[in-house]
Amino acid sequence: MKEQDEQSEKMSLERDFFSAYDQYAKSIYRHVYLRVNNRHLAEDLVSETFLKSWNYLVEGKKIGKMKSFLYRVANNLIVDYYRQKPREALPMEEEILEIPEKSASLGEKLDEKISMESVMKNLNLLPENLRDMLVYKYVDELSVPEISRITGKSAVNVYVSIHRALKALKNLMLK
Amino acid sequence: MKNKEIKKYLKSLKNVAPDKDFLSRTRDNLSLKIKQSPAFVIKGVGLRHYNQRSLKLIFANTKMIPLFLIFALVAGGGGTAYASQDSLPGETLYAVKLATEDVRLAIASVNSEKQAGIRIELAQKRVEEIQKVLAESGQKELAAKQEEALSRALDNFNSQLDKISAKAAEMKLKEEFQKAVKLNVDLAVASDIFKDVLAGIEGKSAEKINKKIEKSIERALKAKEDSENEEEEINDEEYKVVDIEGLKKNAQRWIDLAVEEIKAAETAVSKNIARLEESKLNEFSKKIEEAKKDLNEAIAFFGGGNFREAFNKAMDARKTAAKTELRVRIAPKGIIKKDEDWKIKTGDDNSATSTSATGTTEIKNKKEKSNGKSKKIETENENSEENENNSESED
Repeated sequence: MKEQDEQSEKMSLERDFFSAYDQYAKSIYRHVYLRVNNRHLAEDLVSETFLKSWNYLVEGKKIGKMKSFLYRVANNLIVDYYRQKPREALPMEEEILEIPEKSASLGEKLDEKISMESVMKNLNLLPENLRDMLVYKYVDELSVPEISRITGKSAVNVYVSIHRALKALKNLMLK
Repeated sequence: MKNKEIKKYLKSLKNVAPDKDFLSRTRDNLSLKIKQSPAFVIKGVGLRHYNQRSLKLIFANTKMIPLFLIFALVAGGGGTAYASQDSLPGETLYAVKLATEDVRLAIASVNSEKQAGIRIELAQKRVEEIQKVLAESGQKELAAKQEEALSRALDNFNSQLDKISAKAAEMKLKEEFQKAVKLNVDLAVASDIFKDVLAGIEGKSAEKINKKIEKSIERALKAKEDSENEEEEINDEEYKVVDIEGLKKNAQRWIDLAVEEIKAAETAVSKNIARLEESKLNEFSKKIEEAKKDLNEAIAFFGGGNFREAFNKAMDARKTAAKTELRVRIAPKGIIKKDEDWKIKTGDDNSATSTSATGTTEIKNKKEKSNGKSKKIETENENSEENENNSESED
């Protein structure tokens, strides 16, 4: 009986887990990729993020907000990775940029692609901590309290960093 | 520029997307891992801690290996993994097969050349699987699940080619030129074969799959052309070295590599003797002899101090041997084409002059620039011949 209860609990956990995967995998991938700028590394880190989250769940630990939890795990993995290995400059992978379907004409698609490439290029020139803030805020669309929880920084610190990052990016894009 | 505009640009980055194959493959792998694990991992001090510590010892020298891949290897299911190797897209064990492939790739990640070689094998496997599924289904319509699985297999094929190309580009950036050349040669040869096989099965399925096959053919053709161009570019750079010491060093290096490539080709032939028809064996043996002849000439030139010619001949020997080795290993029975396939690209003027009395060397580049003269996909007659051969090979 106990085994049956455990099995059905596991199945329910599995359902919720995969529902979270379907909902957040793409965003987590996007976030990780924009921070590490390497597709293969991003894939590895995303796989590990979800596996660690699953392991956390089956140990009976509770996760309040899955979205923040996943971002936090991904963030920690990125930090750990760069602790072990210094950053390398890698070429930007253009193919990863999907042109939104709503761009009607070829001209619009081209403009969008150029804008995306330009902003990515300049984003990569920013110091890591500033770049991360912009990704959290404007790409992942996380709130300041959420960013504060994920990064462990105070809300004031997050606000100031975002403001500085925007200014720095603006200066780069004007050049 | 206003902040509003900057924010709009940042939001456009929401369109960054992963490889289509990655999301579904990772989901399958996670699902597999979860199914293999007991209902709950030991709580508190548990299996997770034990595995992480012992796995760190086992894999101490490896680079980042995703933990779920390590579990798939270590946690068990060895019998299942073995049984899965013949599974096809849409079958129950196919996800296991893909998971074991990921483990192989992860373990090989410390050696980029080995990993790239595995990727070429995996691309070949995908092509063979697709061939088999379509051959088995005959004229019958595929089930939606099977069609979806085929579609993902094609995505996986494209993804393997993308990753090999990326690895070759990375090697070139890191100035690992010899490795980059080898990889480009391998990719060019493999892609040439793949596109031919895919062309043979195009049109035999539902429209959605046919369109994807067409895209995969284009991808293979592009991989072939790009890798040939890359190889040429790298070789041209090495070729331009003019100081004697540099030339000598390059020529020596190429001779050493030619020796290795020829050995590898001979090993490949002896390992595949049972699988190949006699005519093919003779063809491959002939190519190996050609490579040896070029190598001997390279060594003779080197001994005589003519390092440019030595470099040239060693390059020819390498290419012939490398192409032979790969064709023996991966080509399906009956797909090998005739002599025109083997021609090393030549320039308009094939002549080579020896070093002039003044010491300046003007040996012309023997390779033809890529100018849209890439191989066309076979005519219908050749396709039907290939199809017949394919059916034979599947018996």
